[in-house]
Amino acid sequence: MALAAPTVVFLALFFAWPVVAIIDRGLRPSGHLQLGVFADVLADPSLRRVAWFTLWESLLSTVVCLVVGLPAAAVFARFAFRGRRTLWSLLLVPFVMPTVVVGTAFLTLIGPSGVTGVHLTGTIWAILIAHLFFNYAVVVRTVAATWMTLDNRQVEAARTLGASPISAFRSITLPQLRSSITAAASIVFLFSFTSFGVVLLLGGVHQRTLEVEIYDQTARFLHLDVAAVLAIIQLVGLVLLLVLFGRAQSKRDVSLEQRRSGELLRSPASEAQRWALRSNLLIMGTLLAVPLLVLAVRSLQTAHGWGFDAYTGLASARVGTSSFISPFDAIVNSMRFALATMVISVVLGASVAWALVGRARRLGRARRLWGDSLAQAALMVPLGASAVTVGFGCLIALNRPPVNLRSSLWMLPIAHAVIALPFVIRLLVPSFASIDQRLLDAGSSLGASRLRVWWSIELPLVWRQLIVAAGFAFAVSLGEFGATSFLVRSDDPTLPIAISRALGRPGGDNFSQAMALSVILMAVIAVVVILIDRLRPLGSSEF
Amino acid sequence: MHDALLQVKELTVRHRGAAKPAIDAMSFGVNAGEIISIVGESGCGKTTLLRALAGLESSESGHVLLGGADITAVAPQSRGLAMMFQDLALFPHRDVADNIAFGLRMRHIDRAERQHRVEGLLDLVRLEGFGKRSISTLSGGQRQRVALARALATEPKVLLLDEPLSALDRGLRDDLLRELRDLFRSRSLSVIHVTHDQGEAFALADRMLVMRSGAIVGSGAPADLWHAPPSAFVAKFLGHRNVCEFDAVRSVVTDSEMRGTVLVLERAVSVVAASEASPANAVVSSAVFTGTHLSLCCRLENGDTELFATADPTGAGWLRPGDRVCLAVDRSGVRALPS
Repeated sequence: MALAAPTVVFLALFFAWPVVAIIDRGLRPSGHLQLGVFADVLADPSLRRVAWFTLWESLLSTVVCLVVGLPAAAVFARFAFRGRRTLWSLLLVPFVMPTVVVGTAFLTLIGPSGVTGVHLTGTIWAILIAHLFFNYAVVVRTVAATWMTLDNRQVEAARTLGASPISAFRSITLPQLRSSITAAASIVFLFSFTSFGVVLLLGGVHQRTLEVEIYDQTARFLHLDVAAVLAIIQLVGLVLLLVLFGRAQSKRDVSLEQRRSGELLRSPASEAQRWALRSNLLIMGTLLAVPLLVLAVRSLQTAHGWGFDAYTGLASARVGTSSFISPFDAIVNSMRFALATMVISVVLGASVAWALVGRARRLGRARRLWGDSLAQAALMVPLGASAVTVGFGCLIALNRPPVNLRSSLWMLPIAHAVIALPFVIRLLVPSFASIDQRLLDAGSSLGASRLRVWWSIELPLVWRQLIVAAGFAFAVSLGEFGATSFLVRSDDPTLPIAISRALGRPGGDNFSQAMALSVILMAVIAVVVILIDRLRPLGSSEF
Repeated sequence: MHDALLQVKELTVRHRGAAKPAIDAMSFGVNAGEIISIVGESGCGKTTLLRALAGLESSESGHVLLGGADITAVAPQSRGLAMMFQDLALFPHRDVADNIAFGLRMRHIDRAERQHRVEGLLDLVRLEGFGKRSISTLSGGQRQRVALARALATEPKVLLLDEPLSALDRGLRDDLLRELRDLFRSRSLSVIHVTHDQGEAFALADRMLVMRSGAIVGSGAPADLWHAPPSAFVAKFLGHRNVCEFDAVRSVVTDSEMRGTVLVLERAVSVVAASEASPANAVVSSAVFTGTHLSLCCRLENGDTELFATADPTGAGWLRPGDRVCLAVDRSGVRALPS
């Protein structure tokens, strides 16, 4: 387990300790146990409203995502159609789009001067649509990945035994999808519950989640005690969620022999099936492409027709708070932070994944791996913890000796790595575990040393997944907004921070710059994501 | 003449976008209580045929009649047929009893009656007490029986079996085959059984149909078909190894005259070690002991022709590759094959 040690230390220092600091701050604001702030927060009607809103907003977002996403999952799982593979990759693009880009896109579309003329920002609808945009891929890809492995012959057997198509779906397909639907719903709920950037940009004054409130209490009102109490409340909620999530997950894998995906795909046979395919593709196109396309197109629109004014204007724009920092500095900053994050999270993620898999191997069958679920769950906790918690925790915990990173350039890559690590581990563990132990034994018996086996057998089998994980970490860092908002140094803004600052300033020029920067960020991330998704087999990944 | 229980008339099935139909204007009938085995190489359309009969595949033209009623356009759930799938398609999220009871539930049969019938079926397939077991804990043979019980539960007018035993190892397969046969006979079930294994068909069928490229190329009782196959293809498919031109074996066949391609039954070929009385006319090229007999392949000295024969492995009959032998064919074992 020596391999796991650096990761454990890293997470203890940069995740566990900040969380402890939050709890300490909330319960002992002035050095001794004092529950007054707690009582005040719980009694404050406006804060209670925020908590209540966070809850029902995430429930509603989850329902909307399921209703819209499940038919699309069916389409991917059952039909062959042109562009299916590409579309499957493209679905990921919105999921990893930075919240500020999506916020800007929806402002362009349904903002006060949006192109549709429908002004929805400041209402629940804007938040629901944006959450649908983000989480659509979670539902579609998680559920379709399971659906593809279901044997269609079970449905056919049910049909010959007297079941109508609807009752065959209800009694055969749905029960076997239930755990993947629950898993997808849990993730959507989690993400909606901890939604920050979208709500900040689109929610207006009245639509506020706990995350936004924590940020405002910290950055605007400087009520760190109140923020800490809110963060504790949110953490408790998240831990409860993770427990439920884990339970739903543990009930997976009921099918006997899983079929290779793609084997059962058929062109839609009836008029109804063709209609189902077309309408789902239309929804996908409208929901996923339109906001981003409108954003790109609008960024080329100027006061006098079309042009690159918004982009050329970036050269003279200033995004620092006190000195002359240009947006290009922000781009360079973002790239540097993203590279550092990528290196940290892949090194730490790969070593801990190897440690987990190696331990499972020594214990026996690879299945035992999931028996090690406690260790795994502990490593997954940051997935549930919100970016704001990470940012706020690091802010109050790492600003004094022995660890003072407040003014260090490493603060952001570290926080980003905490956020990216769970994704990296989730991507790497199954891939490492899927290597047949007999291959390694064969290597050893042919005379290769342990290191040699690792270099010439294990590494070539997993390098693709390593690149995928690296790309994911890169994209996460590039778009990270929640934690960055707390930790960014005012003169080293990242791209998302520069966008949000431009959005925060009045004037058409500023909005144009926000759009131009959003398009740049969007393009970089889209390219990274499409490239890495091409490296993975269809259906192997959930999201 | 009374009509068959299931009649297939000029049935044509074409996969989407395919130039050639998978089932090409096929016609045959199944009488009540009859077991039909359809054999053919993989890809010949036999599974498609079964799926079309079950209503899982739509047909381009032709008709399927069940008990005189046209069911060509009837939905699968209303046909009154049951199908046992190649890899069984058991419902992994339901226990054994729930799997068997599925069809009964779909027919809204009440709980008590359902339970009673499931008990009976579990007895029938010798799985007493397995009702609450999960499918994943069953062995291959036990799963097979659950699938069979599930298909029988709805008392289908015709039972469709798609390679029902292909996943099992040989010993288990022979046992189950015998059980199936006795079961079908004792309940006078009408069965269409599809397999690529002619041995399975021989053991089970009242009548066999040989399929090739979506059409029937041979039919008859198993023994008749074996002893008088209608073509070289059918002969080879059924497992005959001695299919050759008559001219090539003329020298070893006693007083007979034929033309074209012939089938030489292995049991009609006698092989003895060469001696003064029986001069050598062939050389043993391989000898394989199968447990019950010695399977010999002999090359005729006057050409490239090889003939297979069986020999008693006891005593002096044990021949080895390279031994020179005297080979003779009884003319009763030579069949002309229409080209």
